[in-house]
Amino acid sequence: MEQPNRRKFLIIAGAGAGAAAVGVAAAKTGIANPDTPSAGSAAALPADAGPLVAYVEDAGSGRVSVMTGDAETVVHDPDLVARLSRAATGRTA
Amino acid sequence: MSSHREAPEISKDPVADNTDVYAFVSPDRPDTVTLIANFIPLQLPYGGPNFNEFGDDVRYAIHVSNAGDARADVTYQFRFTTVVRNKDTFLYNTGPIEKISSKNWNRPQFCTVTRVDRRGRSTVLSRNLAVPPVNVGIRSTPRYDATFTAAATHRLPGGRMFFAGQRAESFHVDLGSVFDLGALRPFQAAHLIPSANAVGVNGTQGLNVHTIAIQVPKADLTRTGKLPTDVMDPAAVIGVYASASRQKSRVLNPDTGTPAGFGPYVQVSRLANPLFNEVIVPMAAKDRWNATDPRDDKEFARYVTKPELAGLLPVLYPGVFPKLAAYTKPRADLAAILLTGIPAGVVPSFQNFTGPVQADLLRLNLAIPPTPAPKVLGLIAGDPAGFPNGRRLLDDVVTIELRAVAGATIPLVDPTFTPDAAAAAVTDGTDNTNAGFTDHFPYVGAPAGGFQTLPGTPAA
Repeated sequence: MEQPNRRKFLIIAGAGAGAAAVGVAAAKTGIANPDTPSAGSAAALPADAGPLVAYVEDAGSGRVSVMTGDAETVVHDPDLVARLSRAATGRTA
Repeated sequence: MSSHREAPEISKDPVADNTDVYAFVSPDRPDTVTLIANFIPLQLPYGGPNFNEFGDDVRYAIHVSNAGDARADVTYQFRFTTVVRNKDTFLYNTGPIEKISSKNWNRPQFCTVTRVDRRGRSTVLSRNLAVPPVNVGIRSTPRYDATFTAAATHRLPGGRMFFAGQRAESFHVDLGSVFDLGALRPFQAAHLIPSANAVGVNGTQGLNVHTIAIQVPKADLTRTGKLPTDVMDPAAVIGVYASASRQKSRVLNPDTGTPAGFGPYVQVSRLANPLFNEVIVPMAAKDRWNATDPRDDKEFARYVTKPELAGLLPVLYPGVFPKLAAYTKPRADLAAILLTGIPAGVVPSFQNFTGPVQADLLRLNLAIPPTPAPKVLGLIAGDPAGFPNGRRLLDDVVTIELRAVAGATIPLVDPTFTPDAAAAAVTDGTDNTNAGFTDHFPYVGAPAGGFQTLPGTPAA
């Protein structure tokens, strides 16, 4: 750490900040592509399906964090991440 | 301030902002410990119509570590539920709130207290514990202290006591002065930008906070499960910190205008020793510090052993701290006080060492009894029942930490060092000017009333 002095003390320094992207979904919104094998139909939803949040910090990692209630499940599913990413840009196919 | 608005992110989230933590052997029940965590800083008593309240979406907690690894061995969690009784009025109260269960109070809160052990096993101690209203004024909350304090003090299983609600701010500091380039009014004639010396002004005067207080048997917190009696026994020492956590994801519902939370709880505020994040941790690291557990504080240790404030004092007060300015060794005294506790052999017949793991914890030696004649400067004034052995409501932590940073405690670990004369005299010159403390649980003074409290005097 630098020793402060009178001149330096009057100099104000700033710092940068990072940023992250958030993807939000609900089970009932049907983001999944019905043409892909892993996609589910409404009839295939779990009986207790509720609102959830899917968060993809780094699409390249293929990981999606799924949060519902006070739980979080991290899934490695590049296909799901790809479909979410396409959905985020308005392209569902 | 102690930890009021001390980091960029938490300053935007006052409901979760932990302002002060206290831990002391209860003076009237010395077989118990009182743990207090205050939240929601700088409350104007007349800050309606939506007065300050605990957050239903915040998980408040007080943690106790007793095994020497800075992990929480006992955690008390506090969750609040708010009820709106009358959805057709804008009023906080539709008439005098003559008792805590009054139907005139339109927005009561209730608390659930849960104890969690080291393995994560939870035990709900009690549910739906009534929280008092804020102190609105003589018409809305008449005879506030008599009406609400005892009614909101609850007995929990296992000999525990609990209180949560608005109280007077206990922490005192000259906010306006210290944030103005580190001025201390009693010494400001010696400041780099001098003005005439003056008496200190308590910047928290007339302000309230929200207090969570729990009193528990000592044996509930020790690693042995026994009542400690030997001051030099390592098992007599506990480390305490408080936290507030929010769910990882928050989604605003445009239909209701309210948020919904998703995912696990993530710590957004924590506090143990006063002023740690405030004046030790650099601004760019403060948010991360709030999200970090104490057991991972090693990465912040360099800010303790070479504190920025110790470098600033000789600059701000030219010629006043020449010995401090010349001291180049790592500040082992501050590392002991803040990060490990003071080991045996440093202060005669005293220790509050929790082991080598560096962690910001408020360390309390439970075998040291409360004193009937406490000194506000605590251990540095020869009173081992006070800060930094835990923290009592009356401890003048600003002066204690100012003097420590100024070098007054260096000789404890480095007898070759003689402090500057100013190190024993420096202070912000404030005292508690809010409601006095009581001699029984919850000890914190009653909150200032909205009607009764006058706004401050603007000046430019």
